[in-house]
Parts: sequence; C-alpha cells; structure tokens
Amino acid sequence: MLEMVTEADIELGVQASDWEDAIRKSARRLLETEKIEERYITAMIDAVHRVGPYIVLGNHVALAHARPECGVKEMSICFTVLNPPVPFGSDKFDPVTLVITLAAVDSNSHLELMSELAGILMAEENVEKLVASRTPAEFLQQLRLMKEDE
Amino acid sequence: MSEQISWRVKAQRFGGKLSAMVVPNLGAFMGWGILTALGIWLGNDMLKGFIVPILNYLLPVLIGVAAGRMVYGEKGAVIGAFTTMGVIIGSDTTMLLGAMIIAPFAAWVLKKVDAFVEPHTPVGFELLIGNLTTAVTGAVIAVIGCVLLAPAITSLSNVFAGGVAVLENHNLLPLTAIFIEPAKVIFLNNAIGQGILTPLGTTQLAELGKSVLFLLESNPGPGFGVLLAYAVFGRGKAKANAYGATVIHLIGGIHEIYFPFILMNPALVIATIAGGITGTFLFSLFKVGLVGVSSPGSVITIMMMAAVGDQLKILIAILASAAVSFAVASVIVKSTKSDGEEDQRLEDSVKQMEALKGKKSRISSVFSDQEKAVDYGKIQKILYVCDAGLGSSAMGASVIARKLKKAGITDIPVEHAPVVELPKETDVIVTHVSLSERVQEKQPDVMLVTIQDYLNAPEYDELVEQIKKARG
Repeated sequence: MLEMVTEADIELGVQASDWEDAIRKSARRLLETEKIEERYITAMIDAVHRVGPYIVLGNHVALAHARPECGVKEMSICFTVLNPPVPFGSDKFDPVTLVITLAAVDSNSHLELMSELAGILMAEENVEKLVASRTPAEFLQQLRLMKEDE
Repeated sequence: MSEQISWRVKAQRFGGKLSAMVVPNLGAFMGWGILTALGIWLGNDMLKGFIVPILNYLLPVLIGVAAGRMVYGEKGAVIGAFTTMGVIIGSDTTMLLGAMIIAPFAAWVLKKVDAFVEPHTPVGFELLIGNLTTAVTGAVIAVIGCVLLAPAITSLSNVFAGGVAVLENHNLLPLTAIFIEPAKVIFLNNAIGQGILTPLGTTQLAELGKSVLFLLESNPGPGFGVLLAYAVFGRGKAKANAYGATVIHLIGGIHEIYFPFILMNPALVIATIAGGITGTFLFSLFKVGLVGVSSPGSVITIMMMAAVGDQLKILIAILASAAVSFAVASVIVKSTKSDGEEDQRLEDSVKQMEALKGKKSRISSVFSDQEKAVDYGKIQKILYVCDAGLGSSAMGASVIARKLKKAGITDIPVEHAPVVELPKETDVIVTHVSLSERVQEKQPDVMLVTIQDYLNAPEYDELVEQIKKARG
C-alpha cells in the first residue's frame, strides 16, 4: 500500500518551533488537499497533551494520528523530515526527526500500510537513510527499495 | 486445577457469564426499581408509564447487548440486542432469561458466520459484507427466537416463578440459605445474586412493587457475624484483619472479604447458614423487600433500595441474622483456636480462595501481596492497546506479529484496540508506558506488558521468547 505515497506527500527540511508546531506543519499538506479537517490537527495535538508522547514510536520517528471521527475525510498519509530535529517530550527517543501523519478512516483499512511501515522503520539505518534524503524523489525511491527488501 | 475442570469451575464460569450480562446494567435495573417503587407508592400515572416498557423492552435488550458483546465485541452487542427483540415480541413474559440465552447464541453464530465469510470477502467490501452478515443472521435468529425460543422460555420462567411461589407460600424461603451461604463462599455469589435472583426478583417487582428475593444473597448479616466473632475471639493476624474487614464488608458491601475466614475454618459455614435462615425468616415474616438490586450488598445500598417503610424492619432482620451468626461463630472460633498457626492459615486460605475464584481476587491484597504467575504456554491472543487504537497500536501489533511468525508461532492473533474499548477478551495486553495506568484500571486481571519503543522494544522479544519456551 506504500504505492499510494507520492512525492507530494513528502516534505523535507521543515523547521518547527516545538512539537505542536511540528505536528501542525506536518499535517498542513493533508489540510490543503482537503484530506482532513482543521479539527483533526487539534485532536492529534490534544491526544499528546492528554496521554503524553505515546505517538513517538522509537528510532526518532513520531506517528501523529487521532481517531477517524475526529475529522478525517479521506485515508491519507504524509511524511515530514524535521530539520533541526524537535523534542517531543519522550525521554528515550528525542529529538524526533521524522513525523508521519496518518489519517485513517476506520481501524482496519490502513493495517497493511502500518505493517509495511513497521517493517521499514524497525531498522534504525533505514530511518537514518530516509531522513538524509536530499529530495522528496530520493526519499520515495528509498522507501520503495526498503519495502522490496522486506 | 488445569488437568480437570471440576463442576465447581464450570458452575463458576457459567455463573460468571450470567452475572457479566447483568452487572454492567445494574444501574438501569436500580433506576427502574426507583421509578417503579415511586410510581406504585404515589400512584402517579406518569411514573407508572415507565414500568412496563422498561421492563419488557429496555432491560432485556440491555442484557442482550452485554451478553452479545461478551461473545463477539460490538458486532455481538448489536446482534444480541436485535435478536433479543425476537423473544420479546414472541411472548408476554419478561424476557430477561430469554435475552441471556438468545443474545450470546446469536453472537456466537455471527462469529462463526463471519469467520467463514471473511476470507472470501473482496478487499474494500469488508464493511458492507460485515453489516450484511449481521443483518441476515440477526433477522433469521430473531424469527427463530420469536417462534421457538419464546414459548419455551415462557414455560421455563413459569416453572422458576412457580418454584419461588411454592417456597414462599409454604414459608420455606429461609431454607434457601442452606444453599446460598455455602455457595457464596466458593464464589458463586454473583451467579446466584445477579444470575438467578435478579431476574426472578425483577419479575416479582413488576407485580408487587418490591421483592424479598433481592435480600437473600445481599444480606450482609451472616458474614458480619463471622467477622465479629473473629474480631472478638480470634487471635493474631486473623483478629487484626477482622476489624478492617467488618467495615469493608458491612459498609463497602464487598462480601468476598469474609470468605477466607470461612475457608480457614469451614465449620463456620454453619454460622452463616444459621444467620441466613434467621435473616430470611424475618424478611418473610415482616413481608419486607427491596425495590431493586442491592449491589454491592452493603447496608447503605440496601437501605437505599428498601421499599418505603421497610428500612427499619430490614435493619432489624440484618442485625438479628448477624447476632445469630455471631453466636454460632463465637462457639466455633473459641473451640478451634489452638496455637499461633492461625496467621499462616489465614494466608493459606487467601491463596485457596484465589484458587477457588480462578483468578486474583480484588480483595486478596488486603491480606498479602503476591505476583500472579503467568502461564505463557496458554497464551492464545495478544492485544495491543493505544489511545486511538489504530496508529501506534496497529504498528506495534504488526511488529509483534512479525516476531511471532519468525519464531514459528502462527496461531496467536495480535489485535489492536483503543483503551476506551477495554476490557476485551485477551491473555496479554501490550501498551505504551504512558497508558499503563488506564489499562490497569480498566482490565486489572490480565497480564500487562508495557513498552517504550513500539518498533524495537526488548519486551517483544522477551514475550515471544517466553511463549516459545513454554510451548517447548
């Protein structure tokens, strides 16, 4: 399902003042393309305020997301590389370099995508390679290569 | 205990299931009791208007929801409610019992149907086909319930109600204590209280405005007498524990607290039986009753649920049953205390109690702290929990699934869910540290693995390793 990702879903070298700003900037593309409503962004930020930095997966990657009913219009995903990296309040995995914003429409249809991503992100060197990409095209190409290696 | 499943375990499991259908809905039962009692007492037509519709439709459907959910999650809840309507339409009798039968059955059938249909479902049609299976299965079972099950339940309910009427008419109700009191101690208390007495009492309530049946199991008098005997005549740790236990028992209404004292000295069950007979005899003599379930069995809830004007009489009966139980228990406690071994015996019987209950009791920590041993070989399902239940947990679940597959274990599904949907049926819950408190609050009985790293948590490997080792 990683095939659905296009160059336009990848943004590199994003500057953010803090983690809230990072989530907002990562999600702005989904907002511009009308995949999500404004309130979905608030919901993602609220969730972190409520339960802590549980969206930080490990290996300096954060998976920003909230419930489908919080304003998702269409299933979508986008990748944002932060430069410089931003602390998310996670003792172990700060600072975060890669934010993946996920907008799911139910609890199952994106599972294949999650599984593919997990396989890639488990290896720290993969994350390092991805965030070192110079262009979105290179990022996408790496991602697809890594998926084939799986 | 795992080699042979005794009748007791079976009865307990069955009872546990019955009470699991009723317990989540007790608030509605109590609310209905209040409306009914007020309506009949005041003769208010508006309040009386609530009685029949809630009893005939809402309460059975709520039981159907809980019963269906127990078997097959939210889909089970929906089909449980839907098919319960079948038995309701098919009969004039209150279908609490009918709901307890048809809803879990329908949910179970739907689970089987879905398991058969799912592999054949084209991608993208899951939602549509999932709804269609519920609709078709639900419609078929609702009709079956209406035509076949409803008449059968009607006769069965009449037999039960007739049995209770016979006992009441011949003043034999107090003798039920002979069964109820020993059964309570081996943790059939919820099975009796919520599984059997609540539905019967509810039917009586609709006719008479109150029912004595709600008092049979919830009467804290007998247990209070035993604890008091220990507080006065006991020794060492047993004596010290008995003081605190009386408060938890009488005011908090958690009867489990006195069970270890009886298991420590089984002859004491004579005391609770004597107390129970006294209490029920007086309840019947005074013609008192409650207007709804008293859960937990605390004096406070009992007073709140007592029919108007019955409070004092009920209190007298409870105290009398406590006095009789205390008198008998004192003789037994005094005659059996020999040496300082009692401390050890109390802790032993707490352990025995856990074994009887089949799981860690919520009150055993009052007596001692001990870790629950986990049998990794028996793990059949792993649940990954996160806040939203679709991003982090889905990712984590797929990592564990990969690791299990690599270890050659293919029969353990790893599912994911949001924390609000707990409790769910599972053997292990995996979650992020920041959510562990909420998970424990919602489902304290299940082994919990907390992680910090969704992708490479060392806890995953340990879990997989332990499962592999246990399976040999």
